[in-house]
Formats: sequence, C-alpha cells, structure tokens
Amino acid sequence: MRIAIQKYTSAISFLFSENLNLVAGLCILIPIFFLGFIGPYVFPLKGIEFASYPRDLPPSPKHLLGTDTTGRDLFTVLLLSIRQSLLIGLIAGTIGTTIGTALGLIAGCKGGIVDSIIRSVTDVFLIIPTWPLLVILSAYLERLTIPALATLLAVFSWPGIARGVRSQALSLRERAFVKLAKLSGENSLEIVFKEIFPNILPYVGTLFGLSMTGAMLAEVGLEIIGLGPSEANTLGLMIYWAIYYNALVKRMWWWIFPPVICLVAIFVGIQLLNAGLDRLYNPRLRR
Amino acid sequence: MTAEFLLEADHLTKVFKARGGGYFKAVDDISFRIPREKPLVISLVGESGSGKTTTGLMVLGLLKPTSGTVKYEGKDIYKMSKKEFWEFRKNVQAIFQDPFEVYNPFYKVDRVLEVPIRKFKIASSKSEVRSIIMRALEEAELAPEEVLGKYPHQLSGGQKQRLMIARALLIRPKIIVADEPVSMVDASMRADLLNVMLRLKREYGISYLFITHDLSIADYFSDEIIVMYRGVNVESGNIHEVLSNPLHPYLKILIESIPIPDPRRRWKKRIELKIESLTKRETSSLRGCIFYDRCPSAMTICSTKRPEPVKVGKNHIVSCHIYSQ
Amino acid sequence: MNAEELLEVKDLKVYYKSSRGKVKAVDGVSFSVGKNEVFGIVGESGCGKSTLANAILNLIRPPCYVESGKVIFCGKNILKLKEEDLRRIRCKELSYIPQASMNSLNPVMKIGDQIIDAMMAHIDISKDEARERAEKLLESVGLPAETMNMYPHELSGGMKQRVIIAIATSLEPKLIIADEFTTALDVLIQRKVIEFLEERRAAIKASAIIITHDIAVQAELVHKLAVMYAGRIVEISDVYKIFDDPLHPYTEGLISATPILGEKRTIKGIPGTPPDLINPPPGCRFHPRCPLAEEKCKYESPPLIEVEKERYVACWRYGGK
Repeated sequence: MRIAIQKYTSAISFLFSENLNLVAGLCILIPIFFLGFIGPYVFPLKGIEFASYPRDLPPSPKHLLGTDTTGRDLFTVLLLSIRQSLLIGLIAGTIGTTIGTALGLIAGCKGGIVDSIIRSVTDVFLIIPTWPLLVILSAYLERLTIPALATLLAVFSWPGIARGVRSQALSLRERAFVKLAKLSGENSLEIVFKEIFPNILPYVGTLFGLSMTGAMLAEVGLEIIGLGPSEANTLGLMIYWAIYYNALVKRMWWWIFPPVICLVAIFVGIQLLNAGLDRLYNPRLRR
Repeated sequence: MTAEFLLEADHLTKVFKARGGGYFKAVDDISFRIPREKPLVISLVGESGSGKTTTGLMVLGLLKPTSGTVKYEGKDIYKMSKKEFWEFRKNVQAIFQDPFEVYNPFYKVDRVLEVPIRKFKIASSKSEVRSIIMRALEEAELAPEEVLGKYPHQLSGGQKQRLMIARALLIRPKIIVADEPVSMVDASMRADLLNVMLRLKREYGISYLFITHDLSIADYFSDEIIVMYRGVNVESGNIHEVLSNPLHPYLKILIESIPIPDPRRRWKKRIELKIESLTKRETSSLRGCIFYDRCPSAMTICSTKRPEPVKVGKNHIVSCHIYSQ
Repeated sequence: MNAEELLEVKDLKVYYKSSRGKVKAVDGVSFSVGKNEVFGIVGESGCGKSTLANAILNLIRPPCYVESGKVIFCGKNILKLKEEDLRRIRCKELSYIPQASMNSLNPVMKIGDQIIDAMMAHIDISKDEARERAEKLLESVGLPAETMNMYPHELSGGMKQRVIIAIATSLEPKLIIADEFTTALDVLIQRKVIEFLEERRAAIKASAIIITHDIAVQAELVHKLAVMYAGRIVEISDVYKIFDDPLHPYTEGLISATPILGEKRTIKGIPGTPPDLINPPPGCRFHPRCPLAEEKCKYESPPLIEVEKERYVACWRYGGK
C-alpha cells in the first residue's frame, strides 16, 4: 500500500515539475466541471424562476452572485448554465469526433475510391462557410432545441477531424510495425483498429478538445445575436440577457463577468490540457 | 507435383511514379531462387537506392511487383488460394532493420510474440503459448524477465532485434528476409545476433534473403551474393568466387572503399570516382549500362547498350561489357 | 600531458537529471590532443561520447550540466568563458561537425550564402572575396561551383556532408570536432568524405577529434585512439599499437567484433548489455561483461594509468593502486 502511495506521489510531483500545462489545465477544468455537474446537487438551487427575488442585487452572502434584472439568483443560473454549455460541447464534440475519426480512418487506411469519395465530401463541407450557414439555419428553424443545436454543431466539426485523422492514418500505414502486423497474419480491419487507431488516440483527444471548444464558441455566438435556443440556460444565453438588460451600463459586473470568465477558463483549460496531454504522449517532447 | 524450388523470384521489376512526373525504376529485372533441399543464404548487397529493400518487400508479398513474379512452392503468390497464401505467409517471414520502428509503441512487446502464435495456430492450448514463448526466448538467448511485460522504449536496440529473432523462431518459417538486421545494433552485439541467425539456419534449415550494404558482413554470413546498383543485378554468384575475383567495376570500387579495422591497411590512393550527378535522382530512361556515368572503365558501347549477364565462373555471373565477348 | 597540448580535458564530469535519477553520462574523463594530431574516440551507443563532444564545446544545456572538470583550449578554460568569447572562438579556432549534420544546413538559404555568412561573421573580408573563397572551398571538397547557388534539399546526403566540412574548415580552425560524421553515408560516399576531411585537415594543419562508433573508420583516420565505455575512458593509445595489441578487454572485444572482408575468422560479440548510467555497476564498469574479470574488479574501479609511453589503460590487470 505504502509503495502505491509512494509511486503515486512521485508521479504527481514529476507531473508538476515536468508538465505544468497538464496540471494547470486540470486545475482549471476540474473545478468548473465540478461546479457544472456536481454543483447543482451540492448547492441549493433556488430562485431560478423570474421574480423570485428583488432584482439587480449585488453579491451578498445570501446571493453569491447577486440577482439579475428579472429577479433570478445568478449563482444558481451560473451553475445550471455551466452544465448546459458543457453538455453542448461534449455532445457536439463526441458526435463530431466519432464521425470524423471513423471516416478519416477508413479514408486513410483503405485508400483508392473510398478515399477519394470521402475526401471529396470532406472538402465540400470544409469549403462551406460555417458561421453564415449556422446563422441562416438557426434563423430558419424557429424552435432550435439544444440537442438539435448540438447535432448541427457536430456536423460542422467532423470534416476538419476527418482530414486530420486521414493524414495521420496515411503516415502510420507506412510504419514498420504495420508491415510486421501484416506478416503476423493480421487482416485489414485488425490493422486499422488494433495497430493504427491506438496510435492516433492522443491526436483524436486533442481534436476532441478543439471541437468541443469550437462548438461552445459557436453556441455563444448564436446566443449573443439572439438566434440560439432559449429554452435552457447556457452561458451564452446568460451573456445575452446581460446585454439585453444593459448590465454593463448598470455596472452589474456580477452578471456579465462570471459567464465570460467561465467560458475563457474552459477554453484555456482545454488548450492547456491538450498541450499537456500531447507532451505526455509524445516522447520526443518530454524532458 | 512438387515444385523444384522453394522460392522463385523471376524478373522482378518495380517502377514508382516520381514526384513531378516521370517514373523511376527501383528494381530492374532481379531474379534468384531458393532451393528446397538445403538452406541457403543469399545476400542482396547494395548501397542506398540500389533497390534491395524494395526487392525484399516484394518477396515478402508486401509490395506488388510492376512485372515479374514471386513464386512460393511453384505458385505465384498473387494467384494463390487463401489457404495457399496463408502457408506462404507463415513460411516467409522477416526481420527488419529498425528495432525502434517495428514495435507498436502502444503495446507491450509480448504482443509481437502472441499475435503470430494465435494467427498461425502454433499453440494447441493456452498453457502451451507460455511454454512456446519461453523456449523461443531461450533459443534467442534472451532472459524472459528482461523482456516480457515491457514496453518497446524500455528495451535496447539489441534486445529488440533478438526478440525479432525469437519471433521468427516461434513461427519457424522456411525463409527469413532479413533487411539490414544488424546495421542499427552496436558492434558488440552484431556478432551474437548473426551467430544466432546462423545457428537457426543449421538447426532448423531456415534460408535467408539477407539484405545489407555491408560487404564484410555479407561475406561472413552468406553463401551467395547478388550485387545491386540502382535496381540492377551487376554481379552475382557464389560469394567466395565473386569476392575473391570481383569483376564489375562497381564491385571493385566498393570493395576498395570499405574501411578496414587495421591501420596498417589504410587506403593507399585516392579513389577516382566521378562526382555523382547534382540532381538526386534522374528519371530512368537510360538506355545503356546503369553504371555508365560513374564508371572509370566506361567505353562507348556502355552508353548505348545494356550489358547482358555473362557467366564467368562456376557460379559467377557479371553484367558488364568488358566481359561480354 | 604537457602544457604544449592544444586541448586538455581534465577529469570532466557531465551529468544530467532525469526522472529516474542522475545520469552520469561522462564520469571523469581526461585526455589531451596535440597540435596537428587526429585523436579518435570510439565507443558504442550510450557511452557518452556525444555528451563529451558537446561538453568540450560548451554546448551543454539543462537538464544536462557540467558537474566538475576543466576543458583547457589554448590555455583558456572553455567551460568558464563568457558567451561573446565563446562565439569568437567557435568556428574560427574550434569548429564542430555535429551528428546528422546534413540536417544542420539552413533549408531556406542557398549553400553559397551560408558559407559566405559564416566567413563574414568571423573575419573581416568583403563579400566578393568571401564568395571567391567559398567557391575554392567547395572545389577542395570535390563540389562544383554550381553548388553555390543550390539549396540544401537539392543535394544528396554525401554532398551536404561535404558542404559542412567545407564550412567547418573555412576559417582554418585549430581544432575540428567531428561527431559521427559518416553515419548514414553509403560506403563509396563515406570514403570520399573521409578523404576530403583528411585532406582539408592536413592542408590547414588542424587537429581533429573524430568521434564514431565505427572502429574501421577510426583505423583509417586517427593517430591516437581513445576507447570510451559507460562514461569513462578505458584505453588511450597510438592507433597502430592499439590494433596490434589491445590492452583493455573491451577494446579487444570491439576489434574482434568487426568482420574483415576476405578473412575467414569467426567474429565474437561481447556478452551482456551496456550498463545503466544511473546506477552503474560497482567497481570496474565493464566487469559484468569482461571475460577476464577478477574479484578486485567487482569492488574497485581501476584508474587510467600510463603503462608505457603514451599508452594508458584503466584495468587492474596492468597494475595501479
């Protein structure tokens, strides 16, 4: 038992001295995830409906982040918003990365006609300007639900991932250990999933982080111009209402800054985590 | 009707498309045979760009020739049934050059032994797997605790190559294509690896297609030699016959240029070797001898006509106009 | 080792910190190189020879550090020089051909410009004069004048290597340090590159330290050979004597491990593997692999002693306290 603890502490201290990015990223993200997913169970959720409390109250022990112009407790709103935003990011990221990775692997490993078809489709999607299309679609679909939005965002993120995964697969295909696998009798499917895929996992992880932040950023963008879904609280929506009710003009910093800081923190945290993980997986970058 | 030879490489040629148009012939009409009665070591010797590795890949069935055939037990490997191809795969294995690249960094090295056992059904029960692995490691002179359960980056180059030999032992192929197996290994380990490989030849009758740039090692290890220059077989035959009486100008210069670990036998005079062409690779539309632009003994005929192989000894063939009647 | 020597390395120790502990890459190395002398250091992978080369040039960066020792070049301790003084010495008096040096050419600059740049940075000449000298230099290593206007990617490995040799000898340094300068070269090109290096060196009467694992290349080039194992030098001797009669068992092992074309001898390897430099074996570092190891070898590390004139060996079989 003692040996396990020793190993654990030496690994942690090694991480600290070696991989500041990873540690910093985790230090930022873990509290935020905690707030978002565990927070609603730990902290009392009160005053989420309009006019629950007097409005425009500054922060106090009773209302950690004060109240907004519609009389809601902002701390509660923040907690729920973090969760919702993270969920959008996670769902969009997962769907997009899964589709992108699968198509990228097939294209890179199979080659030939299959590769050409997938590549053409990918290129078409890449050429389409994402943002204008998102705006148009959101405006057209009157009721945009959260799951619909997440799916839409996923559709825009998979091409970039497919392209990246494809080139990784192409280069990995030529490696000596793949040749050895063929000589050992592994068939094509096994080579793709057992030899190539594990080696692109770190890369896919990075891409997942990026597509997650991309999706969240797109959602915030839509919300701010009023096109996003208004059924659930997200950080973007929170910012929207703050702007709508002129929070800045009224010097209500407790309304506008917390969501912005949370968003920035999530993005920075994911980037740091990516950098840290990359360094972990890439032995050449170590030391 | 059993085939006369175990493996036949017939007029193997491989042409690649060069960047920016044009094409380049990596391998140009290479043929050799590995008999079935007794094990034979054939060395493919050449410098980089000679096409020796490409030839090896074609023999292994990992690269399709542009023309020419590879026949195992008399059958073209691209025309085999699934069962026949499986037999071919099992019996023609490889040891590659770079011990650091052959292992998938994601897995422990044990996997390299376990996968072939499973795929080629070498063990009849789960418990047998363990004992087969142990025996192979022992024969390759590797201590099990040194290598089992470890990741590739935890082992040295020499250990990784030995493990490759253990893997070959497990599978017990009839032919091993060894592509520069010791060039990335320290000198002190080379002898051991080569001697283990020779022992496998004696004890299990395994033949080798030994690919190397090092003539001295080829001399130590092989029975027959094929000297390749830019894809072409310039001189071949029994290794002692060829090396004691080298005829092709390229081979002669090659032998002279090997540094000898003895200061009393230093190179005497500067070798006169024409500067190589400034562009790294020209598209191969040369009609004459492939060595024409660098040959110190070049004649006019060499620039227009390809020399045909000529028998100059009991088992000694050279392709050079100097020796064509 | 007298005061007239060009380079004196005294008890140099270079370590580096790693997650598993302190790696003693160079652990007490001493030798000297005279004027117009070619000094070879041979050793296998992981013996510390590249770290040694970097240390002599004061190119050690964290996590690597010099634990102790001196490197005296022309009377000055290189390890204690300031950056400006170092820059003045580098290239002009002490030049370096690093490992895989073909990759150290600037890919976006023409060859001619790179040579001219190097020259003009150190000596006061006009661009035209530098260009003229550069062309002559390239000629001396067998490269045609057109090479001046080419980019590195247009040249083959052997050509790039020769350009590096040209640059390294352009300012006529007193000492050239070449680290594995023929690795990855084909046999024919290797010979030409070796010939050119030796010609240039002899022409400018420079000394050279040739570091390579290939003992045959050492035999072609050097006057004196030092054998390095596990961070220490185990034998130094005149090159003829060392091949005729190697003293240290490791040296003998290295020589017997190399096949010679035409000779039908069995080549022997050295059993075992090189030691872990974090926890090297106690006593003589070679003892676990030595066929002649005795009890004493397991506990006490033999010092490098002079057994004859200019012959040094670190092995208990030759005495020493």
